[in-house]
Amino acid sequence: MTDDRDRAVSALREACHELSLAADIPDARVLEEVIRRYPEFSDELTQLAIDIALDALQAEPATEEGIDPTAVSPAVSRALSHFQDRLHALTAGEPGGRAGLAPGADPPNPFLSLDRAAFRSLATRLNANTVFVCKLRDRQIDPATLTPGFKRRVAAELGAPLALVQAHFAARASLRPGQFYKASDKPAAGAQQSFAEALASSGLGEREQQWLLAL
Amino acid sequence: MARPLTRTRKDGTPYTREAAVEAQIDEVLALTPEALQGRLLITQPQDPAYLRSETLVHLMRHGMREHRRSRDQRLVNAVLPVLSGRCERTVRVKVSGLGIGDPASLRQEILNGLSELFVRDGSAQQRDRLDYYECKFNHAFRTWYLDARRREALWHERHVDLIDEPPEESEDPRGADPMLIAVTLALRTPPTQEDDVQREEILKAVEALPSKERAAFTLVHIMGYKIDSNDPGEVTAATRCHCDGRTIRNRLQRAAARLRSVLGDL
Repeated sequence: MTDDRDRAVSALREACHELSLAADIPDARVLEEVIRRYPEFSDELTQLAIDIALDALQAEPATEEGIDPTAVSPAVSRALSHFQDRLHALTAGEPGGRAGLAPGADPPNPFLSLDRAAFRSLATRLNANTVFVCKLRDRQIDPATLTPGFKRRVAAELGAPLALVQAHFAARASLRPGQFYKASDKPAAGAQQSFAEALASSGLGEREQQWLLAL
Repeated sequence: MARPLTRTRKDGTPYTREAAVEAQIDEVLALTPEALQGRLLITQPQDPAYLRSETLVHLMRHGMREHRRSRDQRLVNAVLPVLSGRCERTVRVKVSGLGIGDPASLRQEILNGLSELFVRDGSAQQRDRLDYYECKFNHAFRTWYLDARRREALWHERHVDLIDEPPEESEDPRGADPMLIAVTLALRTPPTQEDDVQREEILKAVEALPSKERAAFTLVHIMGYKIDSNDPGEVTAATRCHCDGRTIRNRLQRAAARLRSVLGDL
């Protein structure tokens, strides 16, 4: 079943890239040509073509003139940190990789092994959204405000030991060494939100928020 | 020599890089680390020494192979910030708050997800997906962020906005609404300094339309589909939306009314 699903996802991805590569702005003729090759994805391709057509009408990003090439924005810095986390998780799982943590190192992040589909599935099973789950992953929520029931639910849905999940939430958000920042934009570890604040600012409905708070 | 792409199309034809990208990759692979660092600092696309994003993807994949072999991350550490920075500038413009709860978090998710592609490159689950990005990076990345944006907007529409679709009317409006004609003309006309602000407002209003009305408008007025046809073999907007011509016309009429209420008469 998983192999079939993977193949279907891969085929859809190929169809979408074919459409995107076919033209800067696909019109009816281009869309129909791609749909002829991938008729099973006509709806998805139609939606993508609509998105591309409207996206193309938007302003283009500013040119790179005047940009400081040595500056790394906070968002890019977080992406680099995420990359290193994933690379470490992959390396630690390999034979000969680090089996345990060095003293003072953060515990493993149980969210990092999830691919995009699994990440979204977790958000759905938690009756939340990916915005909120990102906050869990990035330790943006004060662990003291998370209810025991919620932590148990997260552990169950992740298939991870409760102790690991608790350790993850309790770990500090640390900066990776070796990165460089513009002095005026130097990121801090970031103030954490309370559980209720995180729910309220994640775009969740009142019903979902109350359900999660009640766990 | 650039490592060949392995991805093939459904009919078996291989994906290929542009000749200019192939040439640039061959040139860059022969540079010293110091020379490469100098090229990475060039930010103007018009500069002949500017490194194309397709080239940066190839360098990242090359660097990841180096890392797997010898744990050497120097190339990856040099290239990824530059590539991520370009992507961030794109999504700051293209992934806005319309229909999305937290655009900053979504943009971060997009950037994080892109960096993960390099970690998984070459694995059984993701053998050659990055080949698309070496063919036409901007188009491939566009597919990536549009997919993320659409999923988030859809979730938002279903769980947060709880938009009720109005019932389809029984009347069948005929004739193109002048509002939609004016909107289409405004969007298709290249922006000038004077009307750039208005154009942005118009585009925002179109993007704020409910998904079925937005689809009807875009298919008919931007992509050029006919609303419907007497020829059952002809593919029209009605075909693509799995409805009839009357429904498309009603959706267009509602779209026009919404746009008029937001923008006034153009």
